[in-house]
Amino acid sequence: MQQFMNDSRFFKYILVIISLVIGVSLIMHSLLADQVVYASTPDDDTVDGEFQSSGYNNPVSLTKFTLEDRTRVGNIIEVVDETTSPVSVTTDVAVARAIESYEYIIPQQEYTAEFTLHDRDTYQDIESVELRIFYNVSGSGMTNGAVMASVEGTPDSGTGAVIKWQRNVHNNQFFVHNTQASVSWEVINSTVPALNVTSESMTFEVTFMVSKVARQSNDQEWHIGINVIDSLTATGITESNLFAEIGMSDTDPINATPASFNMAFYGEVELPDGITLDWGAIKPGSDFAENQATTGSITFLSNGNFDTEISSSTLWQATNTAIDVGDATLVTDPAVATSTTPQAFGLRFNDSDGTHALTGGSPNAETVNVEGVDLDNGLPATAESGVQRSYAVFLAISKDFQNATYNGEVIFLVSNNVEDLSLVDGGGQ
Amino acid sequence: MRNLRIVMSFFVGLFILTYGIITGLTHENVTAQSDGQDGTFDVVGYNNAPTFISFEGPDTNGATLTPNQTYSVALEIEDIDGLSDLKKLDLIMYYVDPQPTSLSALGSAFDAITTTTIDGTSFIMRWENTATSAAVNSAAGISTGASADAPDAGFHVVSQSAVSSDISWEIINSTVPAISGTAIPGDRFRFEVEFKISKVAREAVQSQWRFGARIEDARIIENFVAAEQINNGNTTVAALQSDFSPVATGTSIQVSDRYNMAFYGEVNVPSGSSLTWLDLSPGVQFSDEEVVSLSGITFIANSDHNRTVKTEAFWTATGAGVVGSGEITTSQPNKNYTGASITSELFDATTEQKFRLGVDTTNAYSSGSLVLLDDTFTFKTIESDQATLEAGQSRTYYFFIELSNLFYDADYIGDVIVGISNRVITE
Repeated sequence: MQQFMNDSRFFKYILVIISLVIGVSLIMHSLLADQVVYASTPDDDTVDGEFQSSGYNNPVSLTKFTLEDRTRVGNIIEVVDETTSPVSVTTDVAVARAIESYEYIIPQQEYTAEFTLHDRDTYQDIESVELRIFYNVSGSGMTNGAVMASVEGTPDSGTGAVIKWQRNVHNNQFFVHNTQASVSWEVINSTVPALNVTSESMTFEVTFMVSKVARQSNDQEWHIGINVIDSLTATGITESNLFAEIGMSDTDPINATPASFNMAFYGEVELPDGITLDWGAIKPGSDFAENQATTGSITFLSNGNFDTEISSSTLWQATNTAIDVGDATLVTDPAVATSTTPQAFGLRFNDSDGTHALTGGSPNAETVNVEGVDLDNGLPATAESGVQRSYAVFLAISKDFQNATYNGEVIFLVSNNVEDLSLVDGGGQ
Repeated sequence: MRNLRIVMSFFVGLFILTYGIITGLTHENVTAQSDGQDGTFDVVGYNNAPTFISFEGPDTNGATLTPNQTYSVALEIEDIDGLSDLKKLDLIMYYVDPQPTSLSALGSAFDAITTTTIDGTSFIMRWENTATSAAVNSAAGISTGASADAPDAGFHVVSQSAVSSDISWEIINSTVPAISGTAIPGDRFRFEVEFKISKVAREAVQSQWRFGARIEDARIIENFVAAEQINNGNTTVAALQSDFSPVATGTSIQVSDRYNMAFYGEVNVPSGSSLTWLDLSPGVQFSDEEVVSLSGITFIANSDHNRTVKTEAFWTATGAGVVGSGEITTSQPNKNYTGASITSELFDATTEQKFRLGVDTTNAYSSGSLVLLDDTFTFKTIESDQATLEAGQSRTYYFFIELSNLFYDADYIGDVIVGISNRVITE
């Protein structure tokens, strides 16, 4: 080492290194000192440019949609194999049943819609989601999209429903939106992502009950669409994403064959609370014109053209008897009051539009029987509030009628006027 | 190929299983819905008609009953409403001739009977609950100011005549319900009646006598059972039969009890009556119209009958012309007469101590109508007639006399007997 340091080449090495460091320093200086433009002879140079964009909303896409009947999940059901002889019947545990397009939807039955949305702006960008169930009557001339767009609330006419989830509204659960009046559409339960979820894909699940007056259809006039309002994270300009022509698909419901459904008939009778047809105390041999009771306001609900009937139980039970008394028996003899048939009685009715007077041959007075006689035929579908009717019911009893209190039932029935094809074997499946 | 079949079988089986599950899940569509509204009515005012439970006749079916004799009958009835609303019960014995050919005809005949007639064809024994609203109200503590009437203590005769003695039907004894306060306890009772059949109860040999009953209930009493205002008509049974269980109006007339009735005849001659001829001369002729009358003879009969007279064959002499031994004092030897004999033969000049007696219904002599009595002590029919009414028939008979030419002075005494007999009834 001492020899090397004594060598002249050592200094040369030192000099070269110092020169190299100085040179590099000069170069670095020139590179870093960009604030200074040194005048020079004509020359060019590059200036860097930059800008920022914001407010863009990525569209929402629908990646899954299914509709299921889960009402019997877990129930023990019978499995019938009609191809064997004899027909074999076994039991199984019911699972969720996927509702197929063209199937009959049943009013007042629960269905579960499950759908998945994708938004590159994440779930935080979603403001609201609407499940729109709408009725596009045949011959309307409107596209499903147009009809769906018009269904912004849930009318009481039974022509559609909006089942909505909205951020920070209604405890962040689905609800029946914009109800004009009391409707029988109902959200049973729903499952939605937690509000702080930031994933781009999100799944919603809502179980709802179909309205009593959801219009009857045999022509696949019912459809389901989804409307998503998003763009919350953008500039505040919300955008609507309408999916009106969706099908049942686990991967691409938008491009799947659009689903459409039938709607089974539904009818309901609501009798006034606490009102009894009470004819009071009457004497044997008392005729129709002497004994009148009124039903009070009866509400008939229906989702299609419907008929109404009245009937009576055959036997009316005798109570409060001092002796052993047989029950009263309904007969259709118009002259029952003059008959001596023991314990025979008859009922006649008059509608609220009639005169209520039961004078001989009144055209509105008809005899009630066990099988049922028409009250009204071909009434149109009702709104949620139904239609109200009241009737006068007249009573006559035979001469041979034991002292007692007699109790029975006058039955009011609503039935479909238009054939419900769901009743045809396999029609709904 | 075998593997292909196995694969196909697998898929077919899978399809069947899938179909079965779908079938099992098929929904139940609501196509019609109904709801019932309770209806109620109270029936008031209905009255349950009593029913007849049993009947016990006076004798076996087809037996012959005897007028003026005592018999008993019993009728048990039931009213499921209770006996308190009974108004009255008529137990009726009645005669129907000719025999009706239908039940309705019998019913019509029965319905026509409303009282005990004096012709001996119907007898109504009635128990009547005559308690009035005043009585009931009184018992219930309600003051109406009216006196209370008591119900019948027993059966009585419902008579056509206001004078009970004019009817010989008679209630001897009866058993009727006791009244407890305002009510008759229970819903069933056996009524019993002991009765005497009328003297003029029509004779029957073809079982023309029947029993029937008529009940009237649904008694309307103020503040008590006013509810029972309906069906308060009569309940009738035209043909009662023994041991029926139970019977209603529709009982066949062929099986109902029927009875015969024995003949009954009765003659009553007024007490103290006598036939007395004074100062008759021997040889007196019928045509001389020495007539004495017997008035006020009462004939009672329940059928066609003959009215007859007979006399003793020998009338005993008494009086001044008779000695102590009873012989008539005569001026002729060997004429030891103690009286006179009746004969139906004609007299001649030698006939002694004979007389003839004739009876007619008029006091004018007529050989054609005069009925001669004879010495056989047998009744001679004076006249015939039909059944009488209860009061019978009062007749006056005229007695004509003839004496033989030789007829000693004395008072002659003999019995004349008026009789009645049944005429043969052709069955």
